Amino acid sequence: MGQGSKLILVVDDQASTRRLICYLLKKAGYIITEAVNGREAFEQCSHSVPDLILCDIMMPVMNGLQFREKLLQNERLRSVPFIFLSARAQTEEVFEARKLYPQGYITKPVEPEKIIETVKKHLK
Amino acid sequence: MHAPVEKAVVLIVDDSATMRTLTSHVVERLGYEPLSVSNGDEAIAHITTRRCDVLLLDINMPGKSGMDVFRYLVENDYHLPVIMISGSSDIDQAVQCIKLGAYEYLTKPIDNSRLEITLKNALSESALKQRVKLLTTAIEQSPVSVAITDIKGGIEYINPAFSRISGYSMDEVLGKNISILKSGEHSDEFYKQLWETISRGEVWQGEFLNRKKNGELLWEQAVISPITNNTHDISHFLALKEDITEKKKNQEALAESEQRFRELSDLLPQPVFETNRDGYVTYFNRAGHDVFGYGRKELEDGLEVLHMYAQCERTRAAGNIRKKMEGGKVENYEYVALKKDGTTFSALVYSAPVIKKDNFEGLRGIVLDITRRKQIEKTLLDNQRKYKNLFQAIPDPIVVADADTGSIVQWNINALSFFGYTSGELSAMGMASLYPENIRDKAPAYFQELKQMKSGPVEAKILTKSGFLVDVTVSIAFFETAKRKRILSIFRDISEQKKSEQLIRENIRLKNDFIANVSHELRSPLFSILGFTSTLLRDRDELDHETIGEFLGIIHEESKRLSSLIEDVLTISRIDSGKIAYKKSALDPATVINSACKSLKIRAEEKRIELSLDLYGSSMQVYADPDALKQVAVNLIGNAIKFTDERGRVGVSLSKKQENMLLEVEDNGPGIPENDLEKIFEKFYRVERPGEEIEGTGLGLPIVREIVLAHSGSIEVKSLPGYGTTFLVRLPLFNIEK
Repeated sequence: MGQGSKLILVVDDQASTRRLICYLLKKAGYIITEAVNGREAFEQCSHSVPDLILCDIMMPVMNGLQFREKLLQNERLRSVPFIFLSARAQTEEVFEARKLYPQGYITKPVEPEKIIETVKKHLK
Repeated sequence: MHAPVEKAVVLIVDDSATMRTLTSHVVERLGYEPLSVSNGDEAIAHITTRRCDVLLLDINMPGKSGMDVFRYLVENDYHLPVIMISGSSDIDQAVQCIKLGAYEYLTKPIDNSRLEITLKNALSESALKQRVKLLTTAIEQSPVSVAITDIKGGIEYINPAFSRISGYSMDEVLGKNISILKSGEHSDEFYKQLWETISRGEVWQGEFLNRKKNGELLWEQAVISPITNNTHDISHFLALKEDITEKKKNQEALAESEQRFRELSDLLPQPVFETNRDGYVTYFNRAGHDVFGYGRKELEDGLEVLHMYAQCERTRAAGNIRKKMEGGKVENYEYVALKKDGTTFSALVYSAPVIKKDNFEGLRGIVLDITRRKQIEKTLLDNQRKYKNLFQAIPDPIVVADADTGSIVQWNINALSFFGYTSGELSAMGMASLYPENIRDKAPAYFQELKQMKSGPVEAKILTKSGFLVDVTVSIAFFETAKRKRILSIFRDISEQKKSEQLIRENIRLKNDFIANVSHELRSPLFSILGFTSTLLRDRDELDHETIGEFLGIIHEESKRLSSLIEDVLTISRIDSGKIAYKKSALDPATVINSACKSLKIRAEEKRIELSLDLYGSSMQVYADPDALKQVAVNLIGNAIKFTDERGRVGVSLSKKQENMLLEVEDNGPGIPENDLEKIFEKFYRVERPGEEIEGTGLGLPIVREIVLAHSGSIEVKSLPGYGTTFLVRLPLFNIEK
């Protein structure tokens, strides 16, 4: 499928969500790495920089917003394409998330194709 | 006893002693008092100094002759009858004396009977002359104008008063008709009647308006009498007239002034009255008649002034009238006055005694109807009372202060209890001290602003005596009383309102959070279900059996999660809205909890957790809904299993503590951080655990708490991070007796 070299980091505390997204992205030909919260995700990023990050917002320990802020403060990681994937649909929180310059914002529930489309778009 | 008639004095002048003695005897015998002198000088001396009614004067005497004496008398205006005594030789002189005015002469020897007649006539004529002289003098001197006319009105006599009053002299009017005095102001009929009256021989009395010589009008009061002669025919008319012009003027002036007084008095809207000394009303002005309802006739018939007072007032009124008569002062003029028709009204009666020549002649007074004033006073009083009651009844604290000085002058009861001060304390305070120090300086500016009505009630904080700050709104009103400006502040305690506003805001926030949380919690499993089902639908031919099983498992789990979430949300919202109906009954909690544990045992076994139950230590009953109680047990024990690590331990025990059932659920899990302990009963609150996925809805504990509270119980949590957590639920034991 020609996407083989791209590494995508999936951050979500829900195992079922991670499983679904991983399945979809793997099937689309991407290499996947997973984290259950922002802190874990940031640790992984510092080891190997992903080509794209798909991240939940509501998570224990370090939530998606805090994680995104941390990335923005980091020279190396700032420019990694970042997509929020959240069940939070309240205006306030979307507004908060948008301030953090994500490349995309996907609201759960969503059709699997939409996720793949968004990821493809930001990997070009 | 009649005074003795004085005898006429007869002075006998003769140089012959024999003559004097003889004549004296005769005179004395005739009933007169004889006095005698022997010469002319003594005679003059006697006449000029002493009484003498008639003189017997001898002509021929040595020294001053009788002739000389007579001349002296004539020259010196002594008018007394003189009878000359002459001898045969001096008859000529006697005749001469008669011519000069002597009364008579007698020749010697004197015939006694002649002397008697002569003396008698002389004396009576002298008396007559005296009387005529008197009357003439009286008429001449009279201030009354006198005129005598003939029967046709021709003037025959006027006296000096007539001349003085009319301006006509005697010469000018003698022979003229009395009609020269006519002024033309009276009708012909007037004169006709006058003439008819006097021509009938009757006396006419009346007033004339005549005209003086100089043309001025002259009011005269006249009496005109006819004078008859010896044949009883009218020969003259006598008019006696008095100048009454001044009197007329005075009368007119008096009448005019009296009319002015009456008119003025009638103009007064208040009754004015006068009484005589016996206390009868003699006068009412128009208002007096109108107000009291008595007519003139009733006054004439006699109306006691006391009838103007109501029965109950008469004793006091009579006492006060007596006081007035004695010149005393009366303190209270207020009475209930009584009208003729029996109605009464409140009145002030001012009166003063009428004093004429130091005698009390009656009372004069004025009656002021004060019904309206009384009504106004009553209305004022009523309003004042109403205002006072209202002032006190208003549930808000009210404080009135002087607008200039700020000192507190009035307050209602609520102000006392609200600020906590006594009346004495408040009265010594300024209104600024009701405010906390930091805005005390601004308070005057507030009032200034409010004075200009720029704002409605102002929110502020006030300071009570015990130092509490209370949120209030202050409404300010300004008013003036007795020339002082007042500022009235109504305080409304809004601390409760503030609290409930806070509570409402908090509730809205919680509701919003709840909705946000619920929607988030719904979306997450839905996302998995949708994602995996669409994947399965699309990729089912490519997927191996195992993967399909895994995906279906996930779908199943997520569906269950969604279902229990929906169940919890419905439960909590039923609880929140108070719609949940617990079917309470007396039951054995051990049985309910034991049955709850049956399903939980499987989950504990999966995690190899030791679940130990100690439920039957003591038998008891609680009054509870079995399903609710079961849910409490499931949620608490389920949480304990969920949060405890594999191979951990969960203990459930049931015991009696005092009057309560005590359910303890203890685990040796990671424990709950202290700052989370308070929040775990909040909806959707979940304690974060590093590296772990959180399962559940975040509604389990809130549901437990609500159920426990609805059963009059309590829930408590004790936790030590790293060692474990214990939940303690207490429910009151069921007591049949109660």
